[in-house]
Amino acid sequence: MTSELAMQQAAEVATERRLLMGNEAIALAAIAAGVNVACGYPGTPSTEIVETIARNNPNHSIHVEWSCNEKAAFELAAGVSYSGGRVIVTCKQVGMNVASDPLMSLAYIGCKGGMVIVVADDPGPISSQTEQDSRQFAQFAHIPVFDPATPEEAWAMTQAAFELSEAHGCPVMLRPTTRVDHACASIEVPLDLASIPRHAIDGFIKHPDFVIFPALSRRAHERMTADLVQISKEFDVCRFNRLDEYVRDDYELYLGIACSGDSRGYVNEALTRLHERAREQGLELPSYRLFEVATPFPFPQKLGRDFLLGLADALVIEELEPVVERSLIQLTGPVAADAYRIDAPCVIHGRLDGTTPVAGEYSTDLLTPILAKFLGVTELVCTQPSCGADAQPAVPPQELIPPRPPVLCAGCPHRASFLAVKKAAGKRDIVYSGDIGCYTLGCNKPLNTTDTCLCMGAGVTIAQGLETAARLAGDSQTLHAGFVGDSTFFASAMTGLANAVYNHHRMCLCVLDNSTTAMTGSQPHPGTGVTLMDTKSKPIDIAAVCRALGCDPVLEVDPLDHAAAVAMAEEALASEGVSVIIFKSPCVQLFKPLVPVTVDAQACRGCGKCVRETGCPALSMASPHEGGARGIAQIDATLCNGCDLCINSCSFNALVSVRDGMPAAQRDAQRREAFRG
Amino acid sequence: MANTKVETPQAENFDCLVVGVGGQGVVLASRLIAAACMNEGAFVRTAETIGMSQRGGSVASHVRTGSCAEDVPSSLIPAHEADLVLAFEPAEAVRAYSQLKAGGRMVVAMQPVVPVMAANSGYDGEAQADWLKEHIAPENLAFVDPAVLVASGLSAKCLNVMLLGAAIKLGALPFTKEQLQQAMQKLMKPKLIEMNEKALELGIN
Repeated sequence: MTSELAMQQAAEVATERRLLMGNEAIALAAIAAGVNVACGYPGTPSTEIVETIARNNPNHSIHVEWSCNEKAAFELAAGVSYSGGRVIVTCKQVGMNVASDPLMSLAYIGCKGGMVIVVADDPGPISSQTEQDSRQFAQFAHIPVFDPATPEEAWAMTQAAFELSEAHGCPVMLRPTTRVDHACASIEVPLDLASIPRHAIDGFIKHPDFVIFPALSRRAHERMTADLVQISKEFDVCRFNRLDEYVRDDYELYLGIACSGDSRGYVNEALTRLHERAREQGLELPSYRLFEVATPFPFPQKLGRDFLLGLADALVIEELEPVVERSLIQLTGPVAADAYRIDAPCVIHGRLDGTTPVAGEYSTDLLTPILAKFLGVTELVCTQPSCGADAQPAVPPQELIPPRPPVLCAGCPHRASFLAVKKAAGKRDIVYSGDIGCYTLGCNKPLNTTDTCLCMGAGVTIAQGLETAARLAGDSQTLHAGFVGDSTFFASAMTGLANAVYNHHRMCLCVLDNSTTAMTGSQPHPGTGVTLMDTKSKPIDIAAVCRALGCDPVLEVDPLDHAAAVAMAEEALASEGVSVIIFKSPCVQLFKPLVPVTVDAQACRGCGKCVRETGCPALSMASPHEGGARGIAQIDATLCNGCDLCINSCSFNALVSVRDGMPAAQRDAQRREAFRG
Repeated sequence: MANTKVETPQAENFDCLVVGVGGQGVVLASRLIAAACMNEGAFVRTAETIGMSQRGGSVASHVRTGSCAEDVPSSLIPAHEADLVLAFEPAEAVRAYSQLKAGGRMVVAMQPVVPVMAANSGYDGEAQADWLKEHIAPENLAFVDPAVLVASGLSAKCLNVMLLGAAIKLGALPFTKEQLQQAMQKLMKPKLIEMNEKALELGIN
């Protein structure tokens, strides 16, 4: 018995150093914390958290699911927590908007089992609609938030978040940003995660406090506020917050720098560079205080006061919104609690006075001159540290760097769907209401088939508003087509479709069904019949749902069967009511490419129509020959997936496919058979 | 011509930028470099491009090493600080030039991927290669011809390992061929190892 126990303990401390992505670190930390349930809806940069837990769940002791949307995930998570289970729920920042209804009320109800909400923010933004700052959501909802700067800190904070959640009976937010989620670092993790036991679930015990009601909410509002005061005191001594000083004997300390999130890394790196350059020039930076804020809400007030004491000027550096900055300003203003009030006013610089940029991602390069100016050492900023002052680096001419925005993949069935609708509309006016997914890229030339894009599901409902406004203005001719993907259909399009039928809107909804959630890296959804628990479920039939909602006609077609797709689109657009056309063809990321299309060099006349019509990345025109003869079309065989769509755009039969004459159903079967294992 | 001082790369003080077009295998190349440096005891940070840009857009992976976490405060390499730029595509190589430090090395795959916005321009990457030859000393610059891969019956997907082989030949990586092979064993599916070993040889020779 004793030796067994000793072995168990040894196993518990045995660790290995692994290169982990921030999202993987969060996932493994949740497993190490005994998490019982992990759920969420895919969204860059948050997706890998749930995926990693699913991959490290050998005996299925953790329930892992892709919920249909964020609201569903949060409510599921609340139920688990009410029952005493530990749960992690993940989404991207705009997913938090969808889940805001349960979140706001949940803070009032509180929770029992540790509940960690991971909301991934996206400064830049790199892959998002907005640059919203979820730390403000935490303030709005009255829940504490951890703001990691690195993957290794995300690992440690995830475990701390579970502890804090259970200690105070409140959900806790972990707010990483893209450069934490998608950065990797060497991290020490337990060798055998699978042997860590799951948290024991007590089970749901009925109590009136689980029913939100005005009288309860008023009491809860007071309780939440008192709890936050207490948590703020705990954050004052939290190991993640750091207060350091660089002090010179001959220079009074009156400058301070506060920073949070991944900007902490950039600030430290920029300061290191400035110290190095100062040394090289026989100089020294002035004294300064450095405050790294890892728990922005509730703000650690005493630490904040200790930071501000004696300072004349403080610079706050944080991406997105001025959360730390406003908290520090509060400490210097008349509304601060007496205990922490600073009498000598310190001037606070940052976002609010224009010292730091409002929008976009920060970096060491961006912050170095801002810090140098604040510290009064602008002479230390040079463009290239490792070269002499006289050797300015060459700047490449812009024409050598063609812009390369993301595009629909070669062979993407969405391209074929867009072209079919475009062809069916012909010369008639048509407005394309787009949605969130790979197909937002339909906005680019030459397709130009996304005229609006707002948020998940809006492709269905914006079209209804445009149609209504057009009708009221006397325009009954313009066609209105909405576009949503299959995963988006289940996440947030069904209500909008019911609205269209019920309120007599006229529109054609195009569901781009590629059998996956493609944009975020191929996650299953209710239409695929696959779950994260490796079980099968009956795939929900999108056509049957649309018929049940009263849409008519509801058509299904393979978009790569071009002639049939155009005919179906014509029929759907002719409908006076709510028509649906489901374009079904698998995402090219799911299957191995078919034999590429080739160019018949004799037949090609170099007209470029194929390139102009399709915008396929595998197609381009070769350089003109000497003497000025036009270059012919060329196909990048490493990119072409053999969709054969381009063949329809060639008037000279110069694009050749081995599948010529093969029935569309057989081609579709080839794709589906070539699924990647 | 930039400073041509040649430095020996150090596993615990190495900044490498891997650039290309989404789908070319950039992330795996950066993971292999990271794994090989970690095997030598280095602390490693990387930053990767994941998400929409992967759909045929410009992508970059940063790999930064140090002796401890504090050595590497952030995961993004500042301008003019990369010891090595590994480029899967000539225009992406030129785009990344401002990241290269004076005397830094660059390995470029001559595999032009025509940007959709330049599909009618006759882009073939030659002008980009010429500009790089003018601005990087010959001992710091190497080109890799991916056509050799296909001619040897290998998949174009092995380009990442071939590029790493060329970087080892140039003396631009802080680890040996054997250490890279160890990393490959760790990160690649067993059935893909043999093909990639051949691609590695093609890059080194």
